[in-house]
Amino acid sequence: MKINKAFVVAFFSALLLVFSLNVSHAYTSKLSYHSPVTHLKNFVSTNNKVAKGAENFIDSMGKRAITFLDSDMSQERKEREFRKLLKDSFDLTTIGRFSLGRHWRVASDSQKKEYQKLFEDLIVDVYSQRFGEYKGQALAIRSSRSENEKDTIVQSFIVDDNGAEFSVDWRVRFKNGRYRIIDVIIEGVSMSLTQRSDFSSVIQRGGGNVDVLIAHLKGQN
Amino acid sequence: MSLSGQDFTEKKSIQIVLVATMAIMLSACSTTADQSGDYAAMDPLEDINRATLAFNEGVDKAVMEPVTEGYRAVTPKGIRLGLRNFLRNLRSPVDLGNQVLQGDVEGATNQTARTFINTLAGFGGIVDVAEMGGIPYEPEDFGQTLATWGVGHGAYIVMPLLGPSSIRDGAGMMVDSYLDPLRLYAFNIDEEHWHYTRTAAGVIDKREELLDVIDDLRKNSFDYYAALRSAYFQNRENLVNDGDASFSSGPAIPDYDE
Repeated sequence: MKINKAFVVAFFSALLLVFSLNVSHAYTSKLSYHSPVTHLKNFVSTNNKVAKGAENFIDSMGKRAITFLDSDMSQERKEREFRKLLKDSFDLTTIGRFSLGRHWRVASDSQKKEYQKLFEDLIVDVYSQRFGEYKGQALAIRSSRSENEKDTIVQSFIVDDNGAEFSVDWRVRFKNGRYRIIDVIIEGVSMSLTQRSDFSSVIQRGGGNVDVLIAHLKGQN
Repeated sequence: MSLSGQDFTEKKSIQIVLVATMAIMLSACSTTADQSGDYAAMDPLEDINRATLAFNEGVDKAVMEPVTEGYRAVTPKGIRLGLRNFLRNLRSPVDLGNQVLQGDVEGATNQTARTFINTLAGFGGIVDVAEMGGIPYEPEDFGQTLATWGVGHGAYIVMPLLGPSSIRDGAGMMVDSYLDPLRLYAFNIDEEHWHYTRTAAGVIDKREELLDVIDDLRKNSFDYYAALRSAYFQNRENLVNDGDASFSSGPAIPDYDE
């Protein structure tokens, strides 16, 4: 039983260590936490308005979605409403272009056009289906943070069916006087980046031509 | 258990040092995919990994998925949540040890508080009282600890039955399970079955937690292998940063009109 005693002793000394470190941490943190904030103050204040706007945008989008998802509209009508909301709220052109990554540059104009059209359909399908599984969970905004003069990360969370909380971050871009979503990041996993990885692999394994991806997109829709 | 406690720890610690050294050596030649989303560069064993994933998918569809769906269907939500909280509480020594090794004072303090609060006030950990009080659970493992020490992933590996991992995270997982005081205790008192029961429960709980996520990823990707690999690396990055949003906000997306 020697080993158990050793572990118990180690465990409790670790606890003691942690508590004593925490006392000193409480003092030093007061000093160190403030300096980067003052440093960033100018940047933050000029972007505060945009960030606040982005927060409101996500909040009202969530509310708008709930009003018809919760209503007794027909499934068809709900889907139509939802597609409209998606097209209004997501910058599908930017997301599509990002998802194609470096293959955008080698694609021909007609390939680009066809791809963008098919991509839009795909995203609308995917998200309609995701929201179709909606069971009354509410989206709660936690905070927001400016990334640069255009982009804001709006942090929110959803409590799922099992009572588990998961984080959903929205990258919102303010451009030409309007807010639009360009990425959704769930528990640190970016939907746009994951899509890009998926597409890139499909193209590369298919011999490097964008047509392979277009064929997949056609099969999906 | 034929070995005495002394021999046992010595043998294990030698193995751990070996594993850790191997991890560091192998990751020295690693590259990161940054924000390109092209994780193929981190996957020199792609052909083997694809075969392993195909095998895992077969097992999952035949056994794991139906079993967990059944578990979800027959067990009330509250009981599932209670089991999850209980299993998390059993991981406390591992979580705390890694917080300390990462030098995360705040994280270690929170973890300690969680253990005390949930064990005493949460009926042995079944109720996550601490989370209700604003101290959420933060999963830690030795793979994350290695990451905070500057060790890269090394190669991506799909482990048979266990799924996506990397040289670093796989080595970390071995260290965690070897050094888990509860496992050592169970083996020491010749009650290994405690450890195996707990592991089995942990597997079911984890698969249940991922039911919707995996389902979504399977449905909405053309190349599930590539999408899963991407999601794995991104999620690990997020865990290493403790979900801190000042790091975990996805890739920077250019403005293509400029």
